[in-house]
Amino acid sequence: MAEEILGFGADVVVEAPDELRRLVVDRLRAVAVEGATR
Amino acid sequence: MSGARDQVARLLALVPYLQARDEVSLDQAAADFGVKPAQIVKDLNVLWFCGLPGLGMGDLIDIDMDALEGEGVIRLSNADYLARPLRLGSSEASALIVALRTLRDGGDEAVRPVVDRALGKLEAAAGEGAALAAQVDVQVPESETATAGLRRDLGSALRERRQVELEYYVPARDETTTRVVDPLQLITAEGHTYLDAWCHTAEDRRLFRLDRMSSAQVLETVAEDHPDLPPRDLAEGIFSASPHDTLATLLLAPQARWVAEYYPVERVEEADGGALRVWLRVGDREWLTRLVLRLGGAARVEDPPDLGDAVASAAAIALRNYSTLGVH
Repeated sequence: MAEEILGFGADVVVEAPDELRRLVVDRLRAVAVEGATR
Repeated sequence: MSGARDQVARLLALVPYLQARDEVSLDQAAADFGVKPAQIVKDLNVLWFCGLPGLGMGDLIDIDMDALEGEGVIRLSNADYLARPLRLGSSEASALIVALRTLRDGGDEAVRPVVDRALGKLEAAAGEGAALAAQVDVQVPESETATAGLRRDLGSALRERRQVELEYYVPARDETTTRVVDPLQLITAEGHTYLDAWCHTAEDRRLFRLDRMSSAQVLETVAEDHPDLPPRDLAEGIFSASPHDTLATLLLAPQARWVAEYYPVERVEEADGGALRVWLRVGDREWLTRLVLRLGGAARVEDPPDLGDAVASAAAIALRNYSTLGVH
Protein backbone atom coordinates (compact mmCIF):
# COMPACT_ATOMS: atom_id res chain seq x y z
CA MET A 1 0.00 0.00 0.00
CA ALA A 2 2.71 2.47 1.06
CA GLU A 3 4.71 1.57 -2.04
CA GLU A 4 1.83 2.42 -4.37
CA ILE A 5 1.20 5.72 -2.58
CA LEU A 6 4.88 6.65 -2.73
CA GLY A 7 4.84 6.17 -6.50
CA PHE A 8 2.31 9.00 -6.83
CA GLY A 9 4.75 11.46 -5.23
CA ALA A 10 3.13 14.77 -4.30
CA ASP A 11 -0.16 13.83 -6.00
CA VAL A 12 -1.39 11.72 -3.09
CA VAL A 13 -1.35 12.66 0.60
CA VAL A 14 -2.18 10.17 3.35
CA GLU A 15 -4.44 11.82 5.92
CA ALA A 16 -5.24 8.64 7.88
CA PRO A 17 -4.44 6.24 9.38
CA ASP A 18 -1.53 7.75 11.29
CA GLU A 19 0.56 4.61 11.01
CA LEU A 20 0.46 4.61 7.20
CA ARG A 21 1.07 8.36 7.07
CA ARG A 22 4.17 8.02 9.29
CA LEU A 23 5.47 5.17 7.13
CA VAL A 24 5.05 7.20 3.96
CA VAL A 25 6.70 10.28 5.49
CA ASP A 26 9.66 8.22 6.76
CA ARG A 27 10.19 6.68 3.34
CA LEU A 28 9.89 10.01 1.54
CA ARG A 29 12.56 11.40 3.86
CA ALA A 30 14.77 8.42 3.02
CA VAL A 31 14.29 9.04 -0.70
CA ALA A 32 15.00 12.74 -0.26
CA VAL A 33 18.38 11.72 1.15
CA GLU A 34 19.16 8.48 -0.70
CA GLY A 35 17.63 9.50 -4.02
CA ALA A 36 20.25 12.18 -4.50
CA THR A 37 23.61 11.15 -5.86
CA ARG A 38 26.55 11.33 -3.54
CA MET B 1 15.85 -25.50 -29.01
CA SER B 2 19.19 -26.96 -28.19
CA GLY B 3 18.63 -29.81 -25.70
CA ALA B 4 18.42 -33.49 -26.65
CA ARG B 5 14.66 -33.55 -26.03
CA ASP B 6 14.15 -30.56 -28.30
CA GLN B 7 16.33 -32.17 -30.92
CA VAL B 8 14.32 -35.41 -30.90
CA ALA B 9 11.08 -33.43 -31.30
CA ARG B 10 12.64 -31.51 -34.18
CA LEU B 11 13.99 -34.67 -35.85
CA LEU B 12 10.55 -36.29 -35.76
CA ALA B 13 9.08 -33.20 -37.42
CA LEU B 14 12.01 -32.75 -39.81
CA VAL B 15 11.63 -36.15 -41.52
CA PRO B 16 8.00 -35.70 -42.70
CA TYR B 17 8.83 -32.07 -43.57
CA LEU B 18 11.65 -33.24 -45.86
CA GLN B 19 9.62 -36.19 -47.17
CA ALA B 20 6.96 -33.79 -48.38
CA ARG B 21 9.53 -31.92 -50.47
CA ASP B 22 11.81 -33.30 -53.14
CA GLU B 23 14.49 -30.95 -51.94
CA VAL B 24 14.74 -27.88 -49.76
CA SER B 25 17.55 -25.42 -49.14
CA LEU B 26 19.35 -25.60 -45.83
CA ASP B 27 18.55 -21.95 -45.12
CA GLN B 28 14.85 -22.47 -45.80
CA ALA B 29 14.67 -25.50 -43.50
CA ALA B 30 16.50 -23.57 -40.76
CA ALA B 31 14.10 -20.65 -41.14
CA ASP B 32 11.04 -22.93 -41.06
CA PHE B 33 12.23 -24.61 -37.86
CA GLY B 34 13.46 -21.40 -36.24
CA VAL B 35 17.03 -22.62 -35.72
CA LYS B 36 20.41 -21.84 -37.27
CA PRO B 37 21.52 -23.76 -40.39
CA ALA B 38 24.35 -25.29 -38.35
CA GLN B 39 21.75 -26.87 -36.06
CA ILE B 40 19.95 -28.44 -39.03
CA VAL B 41 23.29 -29.87 -40.25
CA LYS B 42 23.79 -31.39 -36.77
CA ASP B 43 20.28 -32.83 -36.90
CA LEU B 44 20.91 -34.37 -40.32
CA ASN B 45 24.12 -35.94 -39.08
CA VAL B 46 22.05 -37.66 -36.38
CA LEU B 47 19.26 -38.66 -38.76
CA TRP B 48 21.81 -40.23 -41.07
CA PHE B 49 22.36 -42.92 -38.48
CA CYS B 50 18.66 -43.53 -37.79
CA GLY B 51 16.42 -46.08 -39.42
CA LEU B 52 14.64 -49.39 -38.99
CA PRO B 53 15.93 -52.18 -36.72
CA GLY B 54 18.84 -53.98 -38.27
CA LEU B 55 20.42 -50.65 -39.19
CA GLY B 56 21.94 -52.13 -42.32
CA MET B 57 22.62 -50.05 -45.40
CA GLY B 58 19.05 -50.42 -46.68
CA ASP B 59 17.50 -49.72 -43.30
CA LEU B 60 18.99 -46.30 -42.60
CA ILE B 61 17.49 -42.97 -43.59
CA ASP B 62 19.35 -41.73 -46.66
CA ILE B 63 20.50 -38.12 -46.86
CA ASP B 64 22.40 -36.78 -49.85
CA MET B 65 25.33 -35.29 -47.97
CA ASP B 66 27.12 -34.30 -51.18
CA ALA B 67 24.17 -32.10 -52.15
CA LEU B 68 24.08 -30.67 -48.65
CA GLU B 69 27.77 -29.77 -48.59
CA GLY B 70 28.05 -28.78 -52.25
CA GLU B 71 24.78 -27.00 -52.99
CA GLY B 72 23.34 -26.32 -49.54
CA VAL B 73 20.33 -28.44 -50.50
CA ILE B 74 18.72 -31.21 -48.43
CA ARG B 75 17.42 -34.37 -50.10
CA LEU B 76 16.11 -37.18 -47.92
CA SER B 77 14.85 -40.63 -48.84
CA ASN B 78 14.23 -44.15 -47.48
CA ALA B 79 12.07 -42.93 -44.59
CA ASP B 80 8.57 -43.61 -45.90
CA TYR B 81 7.50 -44.97 -42.52
CA LEU B 82 7.86 -41.44 -41.08
CA ALA B 83 5.82 -39.63 -43.71
CA ARG B 84 3.19 -38.26 -41.32
CA PRO B 85 3.99 -35.48 -38.83
CA LEU B 86 3.52 -36.10 -35.12
CA ARG B 87 0.07 -35.49 -33.71
CA LEU B 88 -0.38 -32.94 -30.96
CA GLY B 89 -0.56 -34.34 -27.44
CA SER B 90 -3.89 -33.82 -25.62
CA SER B 91 -2.47 -31.07 -23.39
CA GLU B 92 -0.87 -29.32 -26.39
CA ALA B 93 -4.13 -29.50 -28.38
CA SER B 94 -6.14 -28.24 -25.41
CA ALA B 95 -3.73 -25.34 -24.82
CA LEU B 96 -3.96 -24.34 -28.48
CA ILE B 97 -7.76 -24.55 -28.48
CA VAL B 98 -8.06 -22.41 -25.34
CA ALA B 99 -5.62 -19.86 -26.79
CA LEU B 100 -7.58 -19.70 -30.05
CA ARG B 101 -10.90 -19.26 -28.21
CA THR B 102 -9.38 -16.37 -26.27
CA LEU B 103 -8.11 -14.85 -29.50
CA ARG B 104 -11.57 -15.27 -31.03
CA ASP B 105 -13.38 -13.57 -28.14
CA GLY B 106 -10.91 -10.69 -28.02
CA GLY B 107 -10.35 -10.38 -31.77
CA ASP B 108 -12.15 -8.24 -34.30
CA GLU B 109 -14.55 -9.41 -37.01
CA ALA B 110 -11.79 -9.86 -39.58
CA VAL B 111 -9.94 -12.31 -37.33
CA ARG B 112 -12.89 -14.47 -36.24
CA PRO B 113 -13.51 -16.43 -39.48
CA VAL B 114 -9.81 -17.34 -39.64
CA VAL B 115 -9.78 -18.43 -36.01
CA ASP B 116 -13.02 -20.39 -36.48
CA ARG B 117 -11.54 -22.35 -39.39
CA ALA B 118 -8.38 -23.16 -37.42
CA LEU B 119 -10.46 -24.13 -34.37
CA GLY B 120 -12.68 -26.42 -36.43
CA LYS B 121 -9.70 -28.27 -37.91
CA LEU B 122 -7.94 -28.52 -34.57
CA GLU B 123 -10.99 -29.79 -32.66
CA ALA B 124 -11.69 -32.37 -35.36
CA ALA B 125 -8.07 -33.54 -35.34
CA ALA B 126 -7.77 -33.62 -31.55
CA GLY B 127 -11.07 -35.47 -31.01
CA GLU B 128 -11.30 -36.80 -27.45
CA GLY B 129 -7.90 -35.31 -26.74
CA ALA B 130 -9.46 -31.86 -26.64
CA ALA B 131 -11.84 -32.76 -23.79
CA LEU B 132 -9.67 -30.83 -21.34
CA ALA B 133 -10.21 -27.62 -23.31
CA ALA B 134 -13.99 -27.94 -22.86
CA GLN B 135 -13.50 -27.59 -19.10
CA VAL B 136 -11.77 -24.23 -19.45
CA ASP B 137 -13.98 -21.15 -19.38
CA VAL B 138 -12.32 -18.24 -21.14
CA GLN B 139 -13.16 -14.74 -19.88
CA VAL B 140 -11.65 -11.90 -21.87
CA PRO B 141 -10.91 -8.89 -19.58
CA GLU B 142 -13.40 -6.06 -19.91
CA SER B 143 -10.65 -3.68 -20.98
CA GLU B 144 -9.98 -5.91 -24.01
CA THR B 145 -13.62 -5.96 -25.12
CA ALA B 146 -13.83 -2.21 -24.48
CA THR B 147 -10.96 -1.64 -26.90
CA ALA B 148 -12.50 -3.79 -29.67
CA GLY B 149 -13.73 -0.66 -31.49
CA LEU B 150 -10.28 0.90 -31.32
CA ARG B 151 -8.71 -2.28 -32.65
CA ARG B 152 -11.14 -2.27 -35.56
CA ASP B 153 -10.41 1.38 -36.43
CA LEU B 154 -6.66 0.97 -36.07
CA GLY B 155 -6.77 -2.24 -38.12
CA SER B 156 -8.49 -0.38 -40.93
CA ALA B 157 -5.93 2.46 -40.69
CA LEU B 158 -3.17 -0.14 -41.05
CA ARG B 159 -4.79 -1.79 -44.05
CA GLU B 160 -5.49 1.52 -45.77
CA ARG B 161 -2.15 3.04 -44.69
CA ARG B 162 -3.72 6.12 -43.10
CA GLN B 163 -2.42 8.36 -40.34
CA VAL B 164 -4.29 8.34 -37.01
CA GLU B 165 -4.85 11.13 -34.50
CA LEU B 166 -4.70 9.72 -30.97
CA GLU B 167 -5.95 11.13 -27.69
CA TYR B 168 -3.56 9.33 -25.38
CA TYR B 169 -3.16 9.29 -21.60
CA VAL B 170 0.43 9.33 -20.35
CA PRO B 171 0.34 8.05 -16.75
CA ALA B 172 3.94 9.07 -16.01
CA ARG B 173 3.00 12.71 -16.61
CA ASP B 174 -0.68 12.34 -15.67
CA GLU B 175 -1.76 14.15 -18.82
CA THR B 176 -3.67 13.43 -22.01
CA THR B 177 -1.84 14.25 -25.21
CA THR B 178 -2.99 14.57 -28.81
CA ARG B 179 -0.64 13.22 -31.42
CA VAL B 180 -0.61 12.11 -35.05
CA VAL B 181 0.98 8.74 -35.74
CA ASP B 182 1.81 6.44 -38.66
CA PRO B 183 0.56 2.99 -37.55
CA LEU B 184 3.07 0.14 -38.03
CA GLN B 185 1.38 -2.86 -36.39
CA LEU B 186 -0.95 -4.00 -33.61
CA ILE B 187 0.72 -6.12 -30.94
CA THR B 188 -0.71 -8.13 -28.05
CA ALA B 189 1.80 -8.81 -25.29
CA GLU B 190 1.83 -9.23 -21.53
CA GLY B 191 -1.94 -8.92 -21.29
CA HIS B 192 -2.35 -5.68 -23.26
CA THR B 193 -2.85 -4.65 -26.86
CA TYR B 194 -0.51 -1.98 -28.22
CA LEU B 195 -0.26 0.10 -31.35
CA ASP B 196 3.30 0.19 -32.59
CA ALA B 197 3.58 3.47 -34.48
CA TRP B 198 5.78 6.31 -35.64
CA CYS B 199 4.82 9.34 -33.53
CA HIS B 200 5.12 12.69 -35.32
CA THR B 201 5.11 14.56 -31.98
CA ALA B 202 8.02 12.58 -30.48
CA GLU B 203 9.59 12.11 -33.95
CA ASP B 204 10.35 8.56 -32.87
CA ARG B 205 8.84 5.10 -32.73
CA ARG B 206 6.44 4.57 -29.81
CA LEU B 207 4.13 1.93 -28.35
CA PHE B 208 0.63 3.07 -27.36
CA ARG B 209 -1.54 0.92 -25.10
CA LEU B 210 -5.06 0.74 -26.46
CA ASP B 211 -6.71 0.97 -23.04
CA ARG B 212 -4.99 4.35 -22.55
CA MET B 213 -6.46 5.81 -25.75
CA SER B 214 -9.60 7.84 -25.33
CA SER B 215 -9.99 8.14 -29.12
CA ALA B 216 -8.29 7.17 -32.38
CA GLN B 217 -9.45 9.11 -35.42
CA VAL B 218 -8.39 7.70 -38.78
CA LEU B 219 -7.29 10.63 -40.95
CA GLU B 220 -7.46 11.08 -44.71
CA THR B 221 -3.70 11.68 -44.78
CA VAL B 222 -1.68 8.75 -46.09
CA ALA B 223 0.74 7.34 -43.50
CA GLU B 224 4.41 7.81 -44.31
CA ASP B 225 6.58 4.81 -45.17
CA HIS B 226 9.20 3.77 -42.59
CA PRO B 227 11.20 1.08 -44.39
CA ASP B 228 14.14 1.59 -42.03
CA LEU B 229 12.11 0.40 -39.01
CA PRO B 230 12.46 -3.38 -38.52
CA PRO B 231 9.62 -5.44 -36.99
CA ARG B 232 9.65 -5.05 -33.22
CA ASP B 233 11.42 -7.94 -31.45
CA LEU B 234 9.29 -9.00 -28.46
CA ALA B 235 11.57 -11.82 -27.32
CA GLU B 236 12.88 -9.70 -24.44
CA GLY B 237 9.52 -8.23 -23.51
CA ILE B 238 7.48 -5.26 -24.61
CA PHE B 239 9.95 -2.59 -23.48
CA SER B 240 12.97 -2.31 -25.71
CA ALA B 241 15.68 0.06 -24.61
CA SER B 242 17.13 2.41 -27.16
CA PRO B 243 20.79 3.39 -27.16
CA HIS B 244 19.51 6.98 -27.13
CA ASP B 245 17.88 6.41 -23.72
CA THR B 246 19.67 7.66 -20.61
CA LEU B 247 21.85 5.03 -18.95
CA ALA B 248 21.16 5.26 -15.20
CA THR B 249 23.10 3.58 -12.40
CA LEU B 250 21.13 2.53 -9.31
CA LEU B 251 22.43 1.14 -6.05
CA LEU B 252 19.78 -1.25 -4.74
CA ALA B 253 19.54 -2.27 -1.07
CA PRO B 254 18.92 -6.02 -0.51
CA GLN B 255 15.13 -5.53 -0.29
CA ALA B 256 15.17 -3.85 -3.73
CA ARG B 257 17.28 -6.46 -5.56
CA TRP B 258 14.11 -7.66 -7.32
CA VAL B 259 14.38 -4.62 -9.60
CA ALA B 260 17.25 -6.33 -11.45
CA GLU B 261 15.03 -9.31 -12.26
CA TYR B 262 11.85 -7.41 -12.96
CA TYR B 263 13.18 -4.74 -15.34
CA PRO B 264 15.61 -5.17 -18.24
CA VAL B 265 19.05 -4.11 -17.03
CA GLU B 266 22.23 -3.80 -19.05
CA ARG B 267 24.65 -4.74 -16.31
CA VAL B 268 24.57 -6.00 -12.72
CA GLU B 269 27.31 -5.87 -10.11
CA GLU B 270 27.33 -7.11 -6.51
CA ALA B 271 27.97 -4.33 -3.98
CA ASP B 272 28.76 -4.22 -0.25
CA GLY B 273 26.26 -5.50 2.30
CA GLY B 274 24.15 -7.54 -0.15
CA ALA B 275 23.37 -4.49 -2.25
CA LEU B 276 23.29 -4.60 -6.03
CA ARG B 277 24.48 -2.00 -8.52
CA VAL B 278 22.53 -2.01 -11.80
CA TRP B 279 22.75 -0.09 -15.06
CA LEU B 280 19.48 0.36 -16.92
CA ARG B 281 18.26 2.39 -19.88
CA VAL B 282 15.61 4.94 -19.01
CA GLY B 283 13.35 6.18 -21.79
CA ASP B 284 11.15 8.20 -19.45
CA ARG B 285 12.73 10.05 -16.51
CA GLU B 286 9.35 10.28 -14.78
CA TRP B 287 9.13 6.49 -14.80
CA LEU B 288 12.45 6.19 -12.96
CA THR B 289 11.46 8.89 -10.48
CA ARG B 290 8.29 6.99 -9.64
CA LEU B 291 10.21 3.73 -9.32
CA VAL B 292 12.76 5.18 -6.89
CA LEU B 293 10.00 6.90 -4.90
CA ARG B 294 8.19 3.57 -4.62
CA LEU B 295 11.34 1.93 -3.33
CA GLY B 296 11.23 4.32 -0.39
CA GLY B 297 14.94 4.84 0.22
CA ALA B 298 16.01 1.32 -0.78
CA ALA B 299 17.52 2.64 -4.01
CA ARG B 300 19.94 5.43 -4.76
CA VAL B 301 20.48 7.00 -8.18
CA GLU B 302 24.25 7.10 -8.52
CA ASP B 303 24.27 8.41 -12.05
CA PRO B 304 23.39 10.67 -13.81
CA PRO B 305 23.49 13.28 -10.99
CA ASP B 306 20.61 15.36 -12.35
CA LEU B 307 18.33 12.34 -12.28
CA GLY B 308 19.22 11.68 -8.63
CA ASP B 309 18.51 15.34 -7.87
CA ALA B 310 15.13 15.08 -9.63
CA VAL B 311 14.16 12.09 -7.48
CA ALA B 312 15.24 13.82 -4.25
CA SER B 313 13.37 16.93 -5.31
CA ALA B 314 10.17 14.94 -6.03
CA ALA B 315 10.40 13.42 -2.52
CA ALA B 316 10.99 16.84 -0.95
CA ILE B 317 7.95 18.31 -2.72
CA ALA B 318 5.79 15.39 -1.51
CA LEU B 319 7.10 15.92 2.04
CA ARG B 320 6.01 19.57 1.94
CA ASN B 321 2.40 18.37 1.72
CA TYR B 322 2.82 16.74 5.11
CA SER B 323 4.52 19.80 6.63
CA THR B 324 1.45 21.85 5.77
CA LEU B 325 -0.66 19.21 7.50
CA GLY B 326 1.48 19.67 10.59
CA VAL B 327 2.99 16.17 10.34
CA HIS B 328 6.69 15.90 11.13
